[in-house]
Amino acid sequence: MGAGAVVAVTLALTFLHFLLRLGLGIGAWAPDLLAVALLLSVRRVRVGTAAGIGFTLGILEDAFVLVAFGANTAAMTIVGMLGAQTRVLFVTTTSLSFILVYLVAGKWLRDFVHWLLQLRDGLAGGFVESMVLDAVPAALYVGLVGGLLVKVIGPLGESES
Amino acid sequence: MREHGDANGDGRRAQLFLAAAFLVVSLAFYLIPTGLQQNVASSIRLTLLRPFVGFRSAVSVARLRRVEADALHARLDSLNAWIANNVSALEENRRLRALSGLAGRMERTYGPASVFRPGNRGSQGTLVLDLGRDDGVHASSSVITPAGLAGRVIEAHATISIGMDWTHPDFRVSVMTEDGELYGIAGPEAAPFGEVDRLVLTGIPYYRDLADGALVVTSGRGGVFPRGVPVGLIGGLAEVEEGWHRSYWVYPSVHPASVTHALVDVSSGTGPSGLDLSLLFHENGSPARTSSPEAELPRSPTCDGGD
Repeated sequence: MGAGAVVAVTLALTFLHFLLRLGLGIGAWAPDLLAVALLLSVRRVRVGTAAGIGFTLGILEDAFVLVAFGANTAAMTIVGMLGAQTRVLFVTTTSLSFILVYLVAGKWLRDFVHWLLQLRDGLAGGFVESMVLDAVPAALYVGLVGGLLVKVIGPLGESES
Repeated sequence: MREHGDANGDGRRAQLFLAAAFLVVSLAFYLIPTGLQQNVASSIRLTLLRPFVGFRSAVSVARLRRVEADALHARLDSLNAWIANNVSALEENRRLRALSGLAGRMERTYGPASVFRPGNRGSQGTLVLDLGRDDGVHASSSVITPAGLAGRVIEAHATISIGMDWTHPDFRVSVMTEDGELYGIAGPEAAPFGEVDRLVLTGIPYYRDLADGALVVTSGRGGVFPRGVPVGLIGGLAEVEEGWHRSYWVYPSVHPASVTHALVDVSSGTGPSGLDLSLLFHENGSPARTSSPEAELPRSPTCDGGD
C-alpha cells in the first residue's frame, strides 16, 4: 500500500472516530479508531514521526477533556514511539495473528499509560475495573476492528519494508 | 511516509530527538495550569472538531423533533395549568411590591439546550451545550433539568458552551434543606477508585441530624445556581467529626447520562442568588415532574423567584 493510501486511511479512521464518538454520540460502543489509526500508521514511519502522529491524534482526543488534559496526548505519543520500534524488536511480518496481538497490546498499553497519568490526579478507577474489565474488552475490540481492516485493505506498512 | 529504510546514524539521532521533543511537549501539556490547558483545548474544539459538534447538534434537533406529539401536548397542558394557577399570585405580588415601594423582582431567563457528551476517553463529567454566548450563555450559567440540578457552564463560546456535571471533581454547590434551616456544601465524593455516583454534603452542624431521604436543594448562595433547585436526597451519614460537624451522602436527583436536554441560564449578568425556583419543582405545582426526565423541557421565557 502506498504512502498516500496510508495517510488517507489514517485520516479516514480519525474522521470516523470523531464522527462516531462525538458526532453521533456512540461513545465507548464505538471502537477506538484513533488507536487503530495510530498503531497501523506508525508501522511504516520512524520513531520521531511516529511520536508526532501520536501527539497529534492524542491532543485531538484531549480537546474535550476538562481534567487530566494531556494524558491522552502523552499516552498516544508513547505508544506511537513504541509502535514504530516494533519493527526493530520483531521480525517484520504481514502475519495477521501478529497484527492482532500488536493491536490488542498497543491499545491496552495506551489505556494503561492513560490510567497511570489519571492515577496521579486521583481520577483513575481501580486496576481490575479499569485495566482488566474495561481496557481488555476495548483492546480486543480494537484488535477485531483493526484485524478486519487489515484483512480488507492489507497491511499498511510491513510489505513496504 | 515510507521512511523507515533510510535511517543512518544522524537520521536516527534526529528522529530520537524529535520523538523526545514530542514526548516532553505532551508531558508539558499534562503539567501546565488548567487555564493554559483549556486555551489549547478550546482552540482545537472550535476549529478541527467544530464540524462534529455541529453535526451532533443537528442530530439532537432531529431526535427532538421525533418526540411524540402526545407527550409534548401533555407537557404544554400542564404548563398552561400551572401558569393559570399562578398568574393571580404573580399579579398580587407585583401590586403589593408597588404599594410597599419595593423594586421589581429580578427575573432570570432560561433557554432550552441540547446536551451531549464528547465520549472521548477522560472526558467524563464534561457537557457540551448547543447554546453559546450569542444566546446569552455565560461562564457559570447553571444547567437544570426537570429533575433538578445537572451542572454548570465553564466556558461559553459563540455558539456552543462547555460545562461540567456534578460528577466533575471541581463541582461544588451550596445547598440547603428544603425548609432552609441547614446549609452546607455538596461536591462529588472523592473517588480514588473511580465511579462517582453520589455527592458528599459537608458543613452540617454536629448537633443536627438529617433523615435519610430528605431533599436538599440549591441555596442560591455564591451567585451561580438559583435557589430551590433539587440537588438530591440524603442517603446516610458519611462522616462525623466529633463535636464539630457531620457529612452526609447525597444521591443526586439527576443522572448525568440521562440528560439530553436542559435549561441553561441565558440572563444577562450574573447573581441569581435572590431567586427561588423551588415552586417549579414542587410536587403539586410543577409542570416539569409530570413527565419523564428524559423528555425535553418546554421553552421557559422567564423563571422568576417567589421572594
